[in-house]
Amino acid sequence: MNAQAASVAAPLIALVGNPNCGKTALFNLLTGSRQRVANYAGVTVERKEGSFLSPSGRRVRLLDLPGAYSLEPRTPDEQITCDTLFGAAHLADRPDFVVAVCDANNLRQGLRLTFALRRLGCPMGLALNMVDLARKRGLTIDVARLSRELGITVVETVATRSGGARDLAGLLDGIAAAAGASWQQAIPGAEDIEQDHAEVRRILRAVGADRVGVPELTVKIDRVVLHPVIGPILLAATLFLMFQAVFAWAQAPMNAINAGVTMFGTWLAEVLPQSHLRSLLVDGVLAGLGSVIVFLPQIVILFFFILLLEDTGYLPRAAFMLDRLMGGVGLTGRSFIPLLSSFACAIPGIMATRTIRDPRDRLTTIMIAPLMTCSARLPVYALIIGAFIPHREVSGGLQLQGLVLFGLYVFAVVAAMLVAFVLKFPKRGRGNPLTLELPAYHAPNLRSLAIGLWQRVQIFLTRVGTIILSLMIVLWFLSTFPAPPPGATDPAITYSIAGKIGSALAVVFGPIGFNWQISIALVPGLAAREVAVGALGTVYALSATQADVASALTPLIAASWTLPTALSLLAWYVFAPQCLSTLATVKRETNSWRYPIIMAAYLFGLAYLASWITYRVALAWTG
Amino acid sequence: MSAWFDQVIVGVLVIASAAFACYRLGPQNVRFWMRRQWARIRGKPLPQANSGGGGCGDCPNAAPLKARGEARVAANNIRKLER
Repeated sequence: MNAQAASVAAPLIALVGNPNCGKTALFNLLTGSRQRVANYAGVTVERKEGSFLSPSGRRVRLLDLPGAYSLEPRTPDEQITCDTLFGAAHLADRPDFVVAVCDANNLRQGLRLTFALRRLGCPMGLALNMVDLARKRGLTIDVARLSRELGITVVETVATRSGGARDLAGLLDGIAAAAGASWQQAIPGAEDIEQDHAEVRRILRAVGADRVGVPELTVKIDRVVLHPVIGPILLAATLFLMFQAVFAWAQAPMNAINAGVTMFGTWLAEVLPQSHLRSLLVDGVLAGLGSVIVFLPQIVILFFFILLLEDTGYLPRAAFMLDRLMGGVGLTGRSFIPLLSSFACAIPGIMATRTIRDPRDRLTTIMIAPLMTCSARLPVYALIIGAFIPHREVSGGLQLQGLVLFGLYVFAVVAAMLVAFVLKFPKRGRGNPLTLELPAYHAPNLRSLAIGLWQRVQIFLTRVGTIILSLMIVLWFLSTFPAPPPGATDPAITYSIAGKIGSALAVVFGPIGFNWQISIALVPGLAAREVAVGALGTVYALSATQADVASALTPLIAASWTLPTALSLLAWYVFAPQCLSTLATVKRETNSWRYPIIMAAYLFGLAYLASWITYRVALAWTG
Repeated sequence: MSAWFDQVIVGVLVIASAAFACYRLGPQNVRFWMRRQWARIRGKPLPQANSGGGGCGDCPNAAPLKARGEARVAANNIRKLER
């Protein structure tokens, strides 16, 4: 690297373009980053900064901005893009150069934004992205002519291909020295916009891009997928298959992990002498982490399906189909994608609400997002279903366990819709009809699918190795000390700090069927859902005398809990507030403590009520 | 293994875990204070306010905040563009 060149202040380059034109894919390609990409609009909702070394060794800072259709922001994510371009006070740096990223298959929309950017007077270039797809669809764009017409440099890019941004890197290399140009704050009037549209039409004709490249296959598939009757059936079948697969495919790898954990625990117990350290490692760490890590295959399978749906372009179609259903509770299909993101984790889901225009719709979506079943809840559900629901087929190869899991997900969605209905009750008017861009279908990119899955595995293992591990060690300490008095007959944990806390909490949770072990597990479960499973593993390991209890949590709870207790805990986890990070994100997104407090209160209230009803009904039913 | 060695090892593990849990789950200002102390112990430059540490860090989309709506890509996530 040229040290002298690198010492010059790195210019800041902004990638600006319509939603879903491939800005983040370009950003990832240039910086080597792995920011989330998917085949639908509104994935990026915050500005992301990275840097890279240009071909001549010059450091360039790159900004990835949320997609925008114009420079008149209508949603919070578009506001971030405009604030950056207009140099809003809370953002330190204004870009030195703007790269307008345009989808070659939909140049009309891209050029309209490019014209608006040109009015700002900033130094800029244009990256014509997805040219490979455009060529496949028979679109040949005269790039040299386009460059002459616009008066700026135009380069072709293919963001999904290694080396697909070489020309863009070369362009950025050239402009780095020209940083510091003056900007204007020019918002076009209605006449300017009309003039721009006419000019865009003329340029499109001149460069041979005057038709939108919608492939015939996409149109054919949409005839089936968006059919008013077949479409919703297909959507339900897809989701149903997903939850069946979570149980059916995961069994063998789960058994293998379980066997590995058991073997390691037995070996560790044999090797280490009787001591606090052995108890910590075997009963605390291994019992806790082993109970959680066993669910990794199910999480991988769930994300395999979610990433597959994201990559193909099916998700916005699902949003389109659910618009009517969402309309019934006062929302629009635009809330669907944030809610669907919440199935992975509520935090990106809540952040994705920035794409919702109506503030009231946005707030309602934020308030119901934690009701969506996040992946961290999967271990809790899987543990209880595995213990209490028989592993058998009902009919036609359908697994009963998968059916129950599907039912829990549906139950959560119905509950979310009911809450939205109540929240929107006084004013359920539909101010903003749904306008949604439906991307062309893509065959899933296996590389990005593999990377996405690997990232999910890393995230899960990082959680297990950091926050869950640390909480298990703390819980072990609280469950071990103080030591029982001489001559004590009960398990040592009942005399410990955690035992005392559990007994106190059991007074509150007793009416809904929770014993003191469950009551203890609920507290660390607030940090992250799956910690509750680990906590149960540790608490039961310290409550029992068998050496191999660490790896046998499922049969243990099957033997010690009643069915009403298990159902009550499932009901609790459908409603109970998500982790503390979710509440912190709600505070950040709403800029107020009021809404996270309201959210926590209503979710706790609902959880307690649902568990109480479930427990009482199940008790009456089972006699 | 002697009893004191056992107690020291376990004590260190428990205190370190409790501190880490406080850091990961604590409010923003607690996290910031802890990061400053950690930098001081290591003799590194003290971090500035709001220069990271928000969010749970578990999700790719919940990266640390710098300014409103901004996430910074970690330095170790950037590679040299080779030609």
